[in-house]
Amino acid sequence: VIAGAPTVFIVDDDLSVRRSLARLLTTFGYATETFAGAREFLERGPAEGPGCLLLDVRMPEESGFELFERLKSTGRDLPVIFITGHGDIPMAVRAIKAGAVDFLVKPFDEDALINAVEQAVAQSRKPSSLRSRG
Amino acid sequence: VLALCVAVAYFLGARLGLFLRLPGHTPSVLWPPNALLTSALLLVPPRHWPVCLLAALPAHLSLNLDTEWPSAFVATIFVTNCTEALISASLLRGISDRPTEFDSVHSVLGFVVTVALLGPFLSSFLDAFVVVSFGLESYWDVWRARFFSNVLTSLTVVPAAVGLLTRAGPWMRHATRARWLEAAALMAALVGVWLLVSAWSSERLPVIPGAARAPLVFFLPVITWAVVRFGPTGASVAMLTATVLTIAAAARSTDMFLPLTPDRTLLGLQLLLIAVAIPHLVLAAAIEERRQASSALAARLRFEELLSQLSQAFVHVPGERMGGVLETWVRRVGEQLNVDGLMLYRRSDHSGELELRSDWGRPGVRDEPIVRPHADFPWVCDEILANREIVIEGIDDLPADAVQDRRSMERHGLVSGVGLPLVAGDRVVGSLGFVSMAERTHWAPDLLARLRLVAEIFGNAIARQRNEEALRESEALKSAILGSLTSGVAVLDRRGCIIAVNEHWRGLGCASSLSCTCQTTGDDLLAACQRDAESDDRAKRMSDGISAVIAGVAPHFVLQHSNTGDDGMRYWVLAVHPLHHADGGAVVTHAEITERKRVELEAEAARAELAHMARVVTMGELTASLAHELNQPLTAIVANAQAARRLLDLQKVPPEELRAVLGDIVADGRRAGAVIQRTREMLHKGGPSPARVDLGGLVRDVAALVTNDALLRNVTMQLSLPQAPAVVEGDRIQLQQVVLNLLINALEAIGDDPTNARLIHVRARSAEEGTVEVLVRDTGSGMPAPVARVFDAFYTTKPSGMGMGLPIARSIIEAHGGTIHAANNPGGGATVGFRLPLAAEARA
Repeated sequence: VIAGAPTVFIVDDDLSVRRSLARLLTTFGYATETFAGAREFLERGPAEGPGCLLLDVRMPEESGFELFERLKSTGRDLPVIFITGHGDIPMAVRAIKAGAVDFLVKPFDEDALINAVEQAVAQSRKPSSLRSRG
Repeated sequence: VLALCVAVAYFLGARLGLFLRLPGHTPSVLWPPNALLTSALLLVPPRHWPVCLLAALPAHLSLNLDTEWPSAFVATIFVTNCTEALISASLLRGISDRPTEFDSVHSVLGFVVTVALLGPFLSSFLDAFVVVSFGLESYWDVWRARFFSNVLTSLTVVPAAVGLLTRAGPWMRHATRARWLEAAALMAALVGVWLLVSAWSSERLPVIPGAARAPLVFFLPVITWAVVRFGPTGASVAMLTATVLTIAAAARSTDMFLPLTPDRTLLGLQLLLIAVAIPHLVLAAAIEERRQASSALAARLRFEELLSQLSQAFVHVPGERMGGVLETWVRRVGEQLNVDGLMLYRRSDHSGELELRSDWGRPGVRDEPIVRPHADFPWVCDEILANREIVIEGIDDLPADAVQDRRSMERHGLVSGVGLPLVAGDRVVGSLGFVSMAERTHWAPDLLARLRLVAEIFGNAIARQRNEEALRESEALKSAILGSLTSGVAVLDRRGCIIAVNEHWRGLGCASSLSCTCQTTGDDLLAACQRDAESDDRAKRMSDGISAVIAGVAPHFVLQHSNTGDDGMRYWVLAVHPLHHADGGAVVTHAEITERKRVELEAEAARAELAHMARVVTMGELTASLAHELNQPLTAIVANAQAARRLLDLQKVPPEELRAVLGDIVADGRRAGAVIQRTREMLHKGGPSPARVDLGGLVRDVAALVTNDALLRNVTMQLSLPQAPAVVEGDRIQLQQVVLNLLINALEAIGDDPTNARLIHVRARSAEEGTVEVLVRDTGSGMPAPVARVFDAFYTTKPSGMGMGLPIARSIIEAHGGTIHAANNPGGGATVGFRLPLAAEARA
């Protein structure tokens, strides 16, 4: 992993999914950090440098959407890519409208993932005022 | 007619009296008119007395026309004569209710005191007074002459006249030729004695010295003959004849009582005749009394013999021949009892009415049987059925309201009758009727007692006939029942031998290939089964079962077995129950249940099909959850595989890194495979396959299946499962289906309402003795009342539900011998649970 590389934060309750995604992103030169749930991620504290959040929608305790709303409300403007096992169009629309970068339905292709991550990381490099779309 | 008879008798009697006067005497030795009048008054009822007395008056007057007596005297004498007759007849009627009978010492003595002594004694005072007041003779001479004359007359004339009038008719009807000859000989003897005495008294034939002095002595043997052989009537007739002849002889003799005066002679003759008459009358009565007593005894003996024959006749007769024997004996009893008709009725069990069984009528007297007793004699039948005797001496004895009975008696020509109920136990089973056609009959108490004995015997016979009929009917019913049973039935004795079978027994036994049941009456079933026990397990179980039931060790024994017939499998059930009989034994029933079994199997298949459909539907409801569950490992697999490819492309891959990636791929592949395996299991189609199932583990597996769904719905699922396995016997898939169904229902009940606790608590625990219970408790909306309806088919509270989930769950649980229940929780939500028996070993 190259120093100063963007960091992809992965929050998913499924260990296999977390590990495999982290492993794949690493091969693309990203730094990765994995979390089993929202609480664990929040405990880590705010991230520095470019990066994005790969967030599972459905998790026990707190869902991906809830975490997303909480991050927005606390001003932690990390770009978010939702991943879900059973996505449907209304859910995707809702996610994009809320400000998510992308909405990926499992199992997804590496191209789709990398595209979304690159886009999100690029967004994270911009000033936060420009990213804000209301 | 009565008046004419009385007048003629009075006239002739007076003539005879006038004729029987001693030479040189006015008074007669014998003066019959008064006695004849007395006889008439004794014979006719008091209401006819005036006719009799008035009828005698012309005769009396005509007799005295040629005398020189004043007519007032003649009339007064008539009054005194009537007075004597009235006094005598009234006195005798006063002390005796049978004033015309002279057949007992008692009645004869009564007659002697009243008619022969008191009547003349009292009336003679009046007569003497009349005679004296007309200045004819001295008072006491008249009194004495009249008294003794009338005593003698009454003693000889009254019994003879009354006896002849009442008894001569019947005697002549019944007398044999020999009796006629004997009577004629007796009369000839009387006349012969008279001729001899007359001859001697004229002293033409002085064979017996002094015979003329006492002619009566020579009549004595003849009178005794009459007394002994001809009863009171014959004796009194003979006595009268002898008296008349004696007086006649005396009248013709001038020196009979010399040297006495005529007055003294008259008195002597009268006293002599009285002295002979009284003892002979008494003797005749005594003999008659003896004769009647012995004839009553003989009748009684004959009757006793009849009764004993009657009883014997019925004792030895089998029930089905009883009808004919009853007929015979009704005739014989009727003939012997001297009635005109005898009817035997039997009360019908069906209608409760009396039905004619046998009717006998004296030939030529009565020939119309009473076939419809209830229609013709309603009152009589009601009385009989109320167990009351009926004694009718004449039609007037019927009560006023028995109009129909009275009419029927007249139509049938019946005058009197007796109806006796025949009683068995406390039930009237019939009636015996005795009727008389000719005249009013006095049913004497001893006759009634005999009739009651006869009725008792007939009653017993009818009761026995009824019992035997009932027994035969019950036997017939029993064999009809046995014959109508479609099962085979065999009755075994205590040793296991067949004592009775019905017609299906052997056919079913032979068809079932359980060869020891292919037997019939007389075979030893138990021994046959024991013989087959080596080769046939069914026979062994059967012999053990039969032995146990016969020994009283087991209350019953049931064996289900099957064999392959021409059309496929045939199923049988054989049951052994104890025979409730003093000698013990058993009843074995054998029935084919192939059809029932087929229906059962079809029902089971239908249930399995339905359960499968329900599983498919349920799994359909789980697709989202399943997809998610498959997506996770698939996502990981794809990502890992792509990572591995990248690593290989980068050519700086440490082999252990690559091995780890591949290991993860394998693990996730297996994980996906497991999900699919579980799903396939649930969708598996097929009949139940019983196995030993740990219910705790099963609940855990199913809960895993819906964990994702619960997660999706944001529902928390808690499991409380026992540490030790709770093993039940059953079909794993079907039981999984039940648990799955309960969990999905719980999830759906919680719905989208975010305000409630959104909690499902699944608990498995051991419950009552030998059972395990699974409870699924949710915090949902609860169930609408009545809660029990949730187990009804097509009852649903869900908009998309089929309404089959819980009914199928219930049928599965009940097929496993368990129970299912549902209730709303006090704090909201519902709890649905089921209970299953633990498997045999697990229970221990």
